[in-house]
Amino acid sequence: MQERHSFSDERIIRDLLRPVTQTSMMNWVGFIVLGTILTAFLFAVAWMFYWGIGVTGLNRAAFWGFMIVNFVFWIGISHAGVMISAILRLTQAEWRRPVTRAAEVMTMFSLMTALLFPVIHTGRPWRTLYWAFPYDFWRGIWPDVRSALVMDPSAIMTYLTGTILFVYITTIPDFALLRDHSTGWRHSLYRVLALGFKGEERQWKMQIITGFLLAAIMLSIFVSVHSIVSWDFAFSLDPVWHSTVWAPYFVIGAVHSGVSAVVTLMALMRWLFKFDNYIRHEHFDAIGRLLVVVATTWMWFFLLDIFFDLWRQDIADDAIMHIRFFEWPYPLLLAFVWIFGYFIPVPIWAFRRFRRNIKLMFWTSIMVNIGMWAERYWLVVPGLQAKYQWTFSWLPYRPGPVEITLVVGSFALVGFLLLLFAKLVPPVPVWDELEGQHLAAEIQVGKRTVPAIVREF
Amino acid sequence: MASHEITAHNGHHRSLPRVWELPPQQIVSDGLQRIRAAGSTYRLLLIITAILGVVGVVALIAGPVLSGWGERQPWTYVAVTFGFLMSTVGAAPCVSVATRLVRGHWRRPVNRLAELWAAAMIVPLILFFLLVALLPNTEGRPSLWFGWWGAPWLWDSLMMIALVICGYAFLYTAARPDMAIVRDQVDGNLNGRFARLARGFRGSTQEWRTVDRAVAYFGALYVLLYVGTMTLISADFILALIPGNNSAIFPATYTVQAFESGVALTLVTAGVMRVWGGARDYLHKEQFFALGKLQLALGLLWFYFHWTEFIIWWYGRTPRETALLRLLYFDTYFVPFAVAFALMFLAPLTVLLWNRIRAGVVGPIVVGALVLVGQVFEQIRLYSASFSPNNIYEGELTVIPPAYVPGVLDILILVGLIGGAVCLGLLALRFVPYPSIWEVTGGLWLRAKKPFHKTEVVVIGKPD
Repeated sequence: MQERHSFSDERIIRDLLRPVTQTSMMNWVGFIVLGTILTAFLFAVAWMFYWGIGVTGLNRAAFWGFMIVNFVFWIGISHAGVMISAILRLTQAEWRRPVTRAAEVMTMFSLMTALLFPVIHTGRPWRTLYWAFPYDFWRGIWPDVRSALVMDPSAIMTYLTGTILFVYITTIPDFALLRDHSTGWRHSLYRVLALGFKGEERQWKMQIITGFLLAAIMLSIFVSVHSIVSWDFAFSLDPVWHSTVWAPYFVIGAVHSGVSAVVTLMALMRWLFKFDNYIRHEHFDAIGRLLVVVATTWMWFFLLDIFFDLWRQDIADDAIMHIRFFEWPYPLLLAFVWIFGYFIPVPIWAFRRFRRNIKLMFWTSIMVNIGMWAERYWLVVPGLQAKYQWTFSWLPYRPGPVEITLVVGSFALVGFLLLLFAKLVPPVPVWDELEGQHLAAEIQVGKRTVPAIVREF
Repeated sequence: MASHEITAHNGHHRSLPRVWELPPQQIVSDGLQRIRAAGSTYRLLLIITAILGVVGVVALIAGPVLSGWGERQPWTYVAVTFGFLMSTVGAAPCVSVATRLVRGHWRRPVNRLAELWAAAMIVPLILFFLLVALLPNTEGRPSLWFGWWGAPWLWDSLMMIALVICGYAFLYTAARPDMAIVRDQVDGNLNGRFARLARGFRGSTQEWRTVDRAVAYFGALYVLLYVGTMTLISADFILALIPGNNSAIFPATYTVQAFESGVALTLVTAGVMRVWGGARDYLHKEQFFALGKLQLALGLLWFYFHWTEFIIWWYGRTPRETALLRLLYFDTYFVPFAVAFALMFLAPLTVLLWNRIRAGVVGPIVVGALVLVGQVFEQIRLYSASFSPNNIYEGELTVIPPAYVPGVLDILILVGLIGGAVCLGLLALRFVPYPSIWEVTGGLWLRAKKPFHKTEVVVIGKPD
């Protein structure tokens, strides 16, 4: 049953602009805590740049560790925005309205965070310029354009550009609204950002068409980005990495973790900004149903990957699978993947009663992302440990304090940016919510009054 | 007149499907019409497909059965037919489940058409039992089973049987309320037949609740079993029989392209019912538009899944991968691949990309038909390649076998047995009313016209 309320436009605007116009105590606590962690993150980066990559636990065999795992994780989270926004917008799913903005913005910030990690991981980021300007012109040494490592930044930058455009286009009506409700420097800022939007019919038409077109274009970019991230690994002949299934497997895994992260965000927004009337139980119910399908599809791909790694019966494959299944800490990580990523949350989401329990949805969504982080680690790190027969070091990879700080800091970075964004732009799209309110109706079926919507052609 | 103009809230004039204007009595009478009397077109189609079915069985006996189970190659086209039927009639009920899951109202006149194909699943089941005997022991060769007892025969058979039973249960559960309606509206023999089928359904609240749950559970179970079965079939009948082929994505590719064909079959069935089946009032642009979108999306996925397999082999360039590329993509089976590529990817993309075509009736139906033809070629490519290698115990293809060229018997098996499956689908129409009376009338209650500012719009009820 839906719990829709009928509010006046003024009430909706006032409620949804509250995070921008008022700063609660919880907001300040959030800024301070996240800011402190962020300072530690910056210190860890500076420390690593000064002393070199040797301060991390990376060694000659396992030279892709926490930072690359974190890169894959945040790219995964970034898939939530398009999954929620583009697909649900194109399919005109009504329940998308309160969650699109948060999902899109999370996409933007998690992509930025993800992009940081390969750059930091080089240890000497200024040298990445050599990718564009080779140091050895006269010897003709250029980056191999066929390498996934070259495709990757291109795909991510395209995705980031598209996402920023997408967020901006869908926020223009709200910028106009903020312009009309603000004074001083805020008014000047929103006046520039609103691009003269007055709510004329033609402007609305252009805004909606652009949003739809961008959504359709973004869909193809969304699939390509994580596919290319998977090809960073799968194009190599590394045992267990060189698998045909990795591209769709990474994409569906990304959707799983990304949509779960949206659930986390929805619950936090409801609690932090008191959006109870806008982010309702039925929204959690709908997203929970979607998650059951996504999670089950992800599990199918996960099993395909494992079974076909074993299918090959190749010595090198088996050596890595042995590490994955039997050598510490990988069995524990595998347990996390299975239990947190699927076997606890999905049976819970299968029941409508639980899907409408916000605390339960919040904690299961957190669980999924713990499981999904573990999954990326389980996939990436052992792959290098037994790649070569004659290796420099057989020592297993152990992350150092610097890497742990970087990973924790990345969560703080995304959280801090989201909080900051909510101070400038309403985290729930006001115009979308107003439109939803106008399209809401009721019909009489027998003795019952059923919530209805105006059919959007 | 099949529709009338209505103004949507955005000011566009769109046609409102006539189905949402029909009185419930009309829907009941339309549903009963096909049960009471078979039309001449229906009878003609039934006779033609029955003859084809008989021809198929005769060809099957005269060809592969008489040649015995010693060699796999004579069975190639039996496997092609099996693969095609599994990918079409087997996938169609999944379309119904998916549209139920997203609770789209447009689905109501379409669901029954998709579910009906579950009735034809007996044909691939029989073919499966003939083919499973061809599979060798898993000892000494890579397989999905890692020495499991009874594998692959026992477990594959159990999955197949479970799938077919679940398909029938899904069809029956979704049709039971309609069978009760028919029982209450007809006399004589028909009444007796439908009284037995309806099993005392009276429409109490408890019974409706049970129907809702049973349809949802059987539907979900059918999809899970279908994905599992297709995974096993693709692994045991295709991958394991091509030395060196351990493409982990292949089961997913095989399943996704089956979903694409399931949508295509639903589109073509809807087209046939609209043109020849007197269902013009029920199958309107709304249904073809929605199914067309699905068809386009799955066509794009077809490309994506094939591309991800291809690109990994292309970059890997190991002798094993080069041999597979030559066998499946470039040399031996290039023609079937090119045809499948054109019909299963290019056709949906280039035709259905255009809103104007997708919003029509003809475009999606034509694309659906093309996808089905493409699926035949795809199955030819896969099973010809997997039923040709002599030594499946070697680690990789050292000698690429020549392309298998079908004979007359092979073609007769393919066409005949597909005809037989269509015949069963048609026969099911005599037992299961079309349209789904309870679902379409349920849709009527949830739609209303209301004034909206200066115009009138359609509103749709969302009870949950």
